[in-house]
Amino acid sequence: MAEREIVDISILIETCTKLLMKFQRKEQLPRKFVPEDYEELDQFEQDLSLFMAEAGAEGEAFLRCWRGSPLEIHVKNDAVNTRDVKRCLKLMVAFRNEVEER
Amino acid sequence: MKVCLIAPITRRREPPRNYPMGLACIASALREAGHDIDVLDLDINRADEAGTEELVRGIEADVVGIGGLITTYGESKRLTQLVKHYHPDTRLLIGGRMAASSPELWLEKTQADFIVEGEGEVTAVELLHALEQDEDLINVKGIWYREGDKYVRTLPREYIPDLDALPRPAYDLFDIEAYVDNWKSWSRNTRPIMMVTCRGCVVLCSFCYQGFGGFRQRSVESFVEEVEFLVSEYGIDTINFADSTLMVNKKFVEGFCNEVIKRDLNLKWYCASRVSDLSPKHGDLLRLMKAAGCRRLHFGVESGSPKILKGIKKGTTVEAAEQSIRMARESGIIVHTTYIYGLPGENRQTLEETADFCRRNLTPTSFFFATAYPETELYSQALGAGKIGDEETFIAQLGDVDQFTVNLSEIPDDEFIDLKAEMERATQLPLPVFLFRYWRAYGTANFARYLAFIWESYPTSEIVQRLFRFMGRRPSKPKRSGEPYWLDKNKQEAESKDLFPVS
Repeated sequence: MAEREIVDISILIETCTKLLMKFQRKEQLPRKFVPEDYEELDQFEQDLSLFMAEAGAEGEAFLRCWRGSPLEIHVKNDAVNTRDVKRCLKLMVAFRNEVEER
Repeated sequence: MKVCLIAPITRRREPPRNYPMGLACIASALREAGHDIDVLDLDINRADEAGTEELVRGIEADVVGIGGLITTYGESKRLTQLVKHYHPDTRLLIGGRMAASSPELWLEKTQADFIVEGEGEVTAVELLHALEQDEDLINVKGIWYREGDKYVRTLPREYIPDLDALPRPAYDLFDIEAYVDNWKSWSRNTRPIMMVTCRGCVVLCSFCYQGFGGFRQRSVESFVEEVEFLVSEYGIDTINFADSTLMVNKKFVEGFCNEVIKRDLNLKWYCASRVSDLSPKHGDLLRLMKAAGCRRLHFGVESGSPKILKGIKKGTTVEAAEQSIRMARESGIIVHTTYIYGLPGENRQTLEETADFCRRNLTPTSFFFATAYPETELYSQALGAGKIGDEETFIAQLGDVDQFTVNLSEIPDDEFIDLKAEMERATQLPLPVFLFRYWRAYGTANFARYLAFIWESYPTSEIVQRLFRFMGRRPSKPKRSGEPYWLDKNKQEAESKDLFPVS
């Protein structure tokens, strides 16, 4: 199996923004979530985890914070938890800003 | 239970003209469920800070509910502090779009106990029942609450399928007369009220938050009965439809028009339509609307640029907009169009396309700023682009769409405000010039109709003000740093032509 490439944080933010917009649209119209939605989300989360794993102590702190969500969201059947996707986007933007400030 | 519902001040800069419909619906549902309802309508009361504090202190209730638009976040947060200060044991609920679009923020930054998400009529009744019976809150669908360090959102509430099954809004708990009276400064000799026939929408535009799910509409019978009630109880003679998509269901519109004529209600009404909801086969429907009292049709054209229209996912086209404007005008209905300035992708070229559209179609126009309200696609884009910063600060400064908050366009920040002002000056003609061109383009009958509409719709002071503009006393545009680029000679030379040549 080919080794996964590390995706840049700006690309990850762009992907997360697109996913959030897509999922919010499905939630609000409303439309059914399909397996591809989960696959895309899963792919993104893997890329994010890989990036953060390579980002040293800040990356570890990010992962702790991201995985320790205070949100307990109950969703219907096939729905994606959009609130945690939004939370992830906010964390990523804050992470990028902090790195850029340094 | 004793419940007090608080309506915060919606717009401090002007008196309220629309009663808080959402709260009136919740009040009605709770009252029908046997609760004792009191209302503290601060929007109509307009007490100062000390007066508001006194009013909140005087509340006697087991449960306090606050509901409104997200633009009232700051006002409402202050109210949560006052409620909890004077009544620490009272359960505090937040509802309406302001709650549903930012539930985490309310739980994290305020002392609210519960957030009601989406349509609240069933949820609020079930929540109060669970509180009364001390039942497990996880079984109440559509709410958020704190549990230890966690913010819990229960399963989403199903949308209410039959809107006719809901009780009529509790008009009697609000000072409807005061709201009607506040229209006097805006329109002559009318007694208007805002009404909605539907919830949800058929599309989701990038600038819109749709917390009510798919499109559902009341039956004609139920709606007209409520209209008759308002006519007899409050002397209402004008309806402002707040539906953004009234024309989606042509059968409803046709049925409503027929009933208004049959029952001789003698109503005037104003409504909005998506431009793509009309096609050449709807000429008869438009004429029926005119006969039933429709005076003005509002089209949210948003942009004259195909690129921008595609980007906002409204499902409309420039051609459809032109066709709908023409059809409505031919049927004798006055057309008003609105545009959103500064959408993602907006640049000088797209603005020029919009200006051209305005000049071609010659309707009264309004330009609004693209505003990133929470849970909209624009908000997510702004968030991803790092333009939100501290979320509470951003949300607290959100106002109406005529107030600038964030630049999402390709236009440089230092030109953004001035460019909008110049766009408005170039497309909104002085009234007499507009009328002359209108007469020349659309004939005497349309012109006379428009004059009658102006006389009927605007107070004398507004008409005089517009005439003054014609006499050269145009109000000065807001000054910001730097001159608009087309006033800068160097930049003008660089451009092949003026952006907004006034024809």
